[in-house]
Amino acid sequence: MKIQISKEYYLLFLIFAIVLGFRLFFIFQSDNFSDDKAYFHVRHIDYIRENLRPMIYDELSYGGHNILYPQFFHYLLVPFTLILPFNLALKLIPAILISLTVIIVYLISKEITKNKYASLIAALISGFIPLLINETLNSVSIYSLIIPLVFLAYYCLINIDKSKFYLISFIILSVLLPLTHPISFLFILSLIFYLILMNIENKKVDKLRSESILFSIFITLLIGFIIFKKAFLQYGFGIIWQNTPQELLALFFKGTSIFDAIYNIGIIPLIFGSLGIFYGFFREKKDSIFLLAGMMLSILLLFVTKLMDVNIGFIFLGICFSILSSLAFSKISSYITITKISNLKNYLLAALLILIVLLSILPSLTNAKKTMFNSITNEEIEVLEEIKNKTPNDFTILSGIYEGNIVMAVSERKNFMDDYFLLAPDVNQRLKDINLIYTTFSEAIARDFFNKYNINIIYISQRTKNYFNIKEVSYIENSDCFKLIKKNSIAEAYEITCI
Amino acid sequence: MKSPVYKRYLALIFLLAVIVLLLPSIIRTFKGNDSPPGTETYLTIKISNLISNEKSIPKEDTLSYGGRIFPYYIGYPTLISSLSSITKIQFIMLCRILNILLGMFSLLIIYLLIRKLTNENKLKLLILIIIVLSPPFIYLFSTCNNYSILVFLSLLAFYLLLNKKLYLILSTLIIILLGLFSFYIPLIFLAVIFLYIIFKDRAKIKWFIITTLLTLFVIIYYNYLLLNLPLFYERLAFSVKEKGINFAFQSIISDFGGKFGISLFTIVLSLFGFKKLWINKYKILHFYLIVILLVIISFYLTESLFYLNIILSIVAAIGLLNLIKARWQSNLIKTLLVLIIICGIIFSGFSYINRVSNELPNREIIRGLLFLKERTNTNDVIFSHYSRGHWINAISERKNFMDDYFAYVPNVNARWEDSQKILYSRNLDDTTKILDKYNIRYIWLDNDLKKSLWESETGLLFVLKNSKNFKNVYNDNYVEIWRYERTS
Repeated sequence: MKIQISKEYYLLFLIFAIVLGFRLFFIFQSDNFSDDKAYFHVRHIDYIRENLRPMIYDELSYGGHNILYPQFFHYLLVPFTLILPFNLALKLIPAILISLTVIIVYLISKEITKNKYASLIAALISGFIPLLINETLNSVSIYSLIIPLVFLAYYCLINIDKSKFYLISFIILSVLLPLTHPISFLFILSLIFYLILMNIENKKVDKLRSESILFSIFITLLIGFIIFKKAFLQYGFGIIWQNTPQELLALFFKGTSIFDAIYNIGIIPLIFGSLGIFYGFFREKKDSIFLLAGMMLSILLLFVTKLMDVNIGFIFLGICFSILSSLAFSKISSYITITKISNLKNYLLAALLILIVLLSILPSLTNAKKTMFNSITNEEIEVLEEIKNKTPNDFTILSGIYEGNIVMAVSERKNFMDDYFLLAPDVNQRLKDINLIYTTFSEAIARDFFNKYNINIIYISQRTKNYFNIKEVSYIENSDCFKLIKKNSIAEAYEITCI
Repeated sequence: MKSPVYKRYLALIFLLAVIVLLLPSIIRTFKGNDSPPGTETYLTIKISNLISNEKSIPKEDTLSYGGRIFPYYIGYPTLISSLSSITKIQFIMLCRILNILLGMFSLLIIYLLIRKLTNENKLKLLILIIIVLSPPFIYLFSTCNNYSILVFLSLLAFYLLLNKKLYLILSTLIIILLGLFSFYIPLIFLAVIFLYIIFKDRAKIKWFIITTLLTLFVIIYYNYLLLNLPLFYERLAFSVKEKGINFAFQSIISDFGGKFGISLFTIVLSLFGFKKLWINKYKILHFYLIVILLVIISFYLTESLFYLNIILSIVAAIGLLNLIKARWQSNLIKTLLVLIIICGIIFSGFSYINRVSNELPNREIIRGLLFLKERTNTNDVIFSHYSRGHWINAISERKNFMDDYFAYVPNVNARWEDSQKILYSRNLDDTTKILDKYNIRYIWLDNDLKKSLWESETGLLFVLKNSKNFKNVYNDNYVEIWRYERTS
């Protein structure tokens, strides 16, 4: 029997291939990852590969502290690292996972619109959300997995009454989400908003769907409480801020404007998505639209209450807008068909595609270049490897806060601070002190801190200088207390000898 | 109708209750630490000791704050010291035995009360299981505290109130007796009874008025005539509550770190229970009002959670049973959901047991306190954070600088400010001036305290390290005891 694959699936595969190709093109331009956070996952995956169990106490981070982190993502990647070269697996698999989002977006859009072309356009747009490129390109990003999982869960929930397959898939996804990332709490919040919206609109929620939502809420709560038990007891409700230092929390929303939203989400999904939500919410009143509206409302609530990283919120909003834009495309297309300009439909489609290239793909390209430009360089790795080779194992390295993970991963030494704050000691004080050490002119002040925290090595890269807005650490050059370990055009490291 | 299976389950639940209440002590003993957790036990033991030594109500507590008037409720400590003198069993052991007995009797009364509410065996069993695994129940009857007997007596009083008229006098006597155990709890209990009587049993309104007046009389007589306490005490100018977004809210949920808060799963399940109860609309208005009253009070007085927990457990069981009985589209989800909820309740309970068993004091602290008892003079004042005050009094039998019983302490705010200066000042002169003022001889520090008070080696830590006036007399890498040597 000859299996016939329809044209739409070829096109969908083409879109998937374009999105994946776009990512791979950039990924293979660098041997290293784009951001420090990737090295957090690299260390965890490496640890599981060696010990088969998750790292629950990190001996290097902050000199040693407990780590509470859902480990499904790490366990998922481990088998691939055994088949493929370690770095290749960690670059390739997350890229494939995040690229799969376009297929899920297509499926949801088609479920909403029943229009395959509108859904394909939505899928294409979702693959080129500039901020999504920023956050996930060339990185072992947890969002590469959690984003497709969340939207797959929505897809299963939309179709839950159609077959048992969707029900079982939804149950499995409801278990996997909290095992992957705390963003699962956003998912259940969105489901609660969905129920509220349905109630407000006097619409009856399908019984099976409400049962599944109830299940999802309870399983997320249970798994969340088991994983984060210690943190809940320590911070109570404060856990939602994850012990992030006040200074950094304030930066979460600093300078975020409507123009940022337009640029980061993309103007096409924003305009057509808004039209879609207007039409879907007020005219069609479809369950699936309410579901996405629930997600958008919960993100807005978390924005207003400053409980969510604005970038992550924009990514989820961007995908929701992409899906909803399919509804606008579909309606506009149907409308055009019954007007006198129906013969220009193909030209209009071409114009839309050009607009997508100009307003979504080009900004994504710029962002991708910027991300790759800011990738961890070989020079940085070289200095950190030199530290590994030349210094004792129990040394502590001072680095910029967003370099803490790479310092641990490459040099295999204790760091002073990194950006995993949950259960970390004295984060506010350490952040203040780290700023002071890098920016002070006084060697005496700096040495006080080196003594206080028993810091043995100071690591300075271009990244550190940019972060602290300094040209150099002023007290190092003329002092006898700092012995150069390695210096190149990008980074340098000194052993502190006067402690 | 009671089936043998039901009776067996009932017996199993009571057995489970005994195990649950014993577990914190067993786990601690296995860890080589047989001291009771928390601070309340040590306050009770100290008061029992004082009563036992004086053979009457003491006029003064010579150990707390270096010496103060006696402001405590004598009910529970008197019971402990009298029973101890009869049975010759040590206070701590007696406390443990008594608490488990009180827990079992309280559970029995709860069972008798819910028997009046429903004939459904499954519901009765579910209510008891949820209560047994609830953090407030575990806290009440596994640590030695004043509230265990208060809850037991109030449950008994309420049970008698619902029975024959003959028992009303007995109920009155018990409620009056509550006045010797606490100031607020009898008042909260009376408010609950008032709501019940006004809506359900108006014939008892006279009884209620007489009982309330008598209870108020006992409270006033005990506090202001017998103990001679001032009418008001100094309002605290400092906050002693833990940090958090909203501690008042946080403290009512145990999973968010509340000391004896209600399990989150019980709260969520009770929402389903209320949904089911709402079918009757306003028929049980008094019940809703009692819940609202207790919820509001628990924001200010967390002790009311002990009552709220019992009520919410009943409603949660109704919710759970309703979830089980309801017609589900998917049996798979139903089975999984019920399983998750049961896991959630068990998880909440056992994680709380684990928490209680890991609570301070640990072995190292006990060793340090015993060092103080052996190597210091009886009149020496020991400085530490107020959270260590009762341990210093009860185990070391030495005077503390501060403890968490702030009521009726003269100049408590000034003393707090001085303690803050000692803890955070790097100036030796400032520190020694205050140490001299209060005649402080020793300073107690432990790792948990250091971690919670200082982020780096500053304040008192700096002074201790850099001054010759302080001599480290004890250090086992967890506890440090420093002797203060006066310069003159």
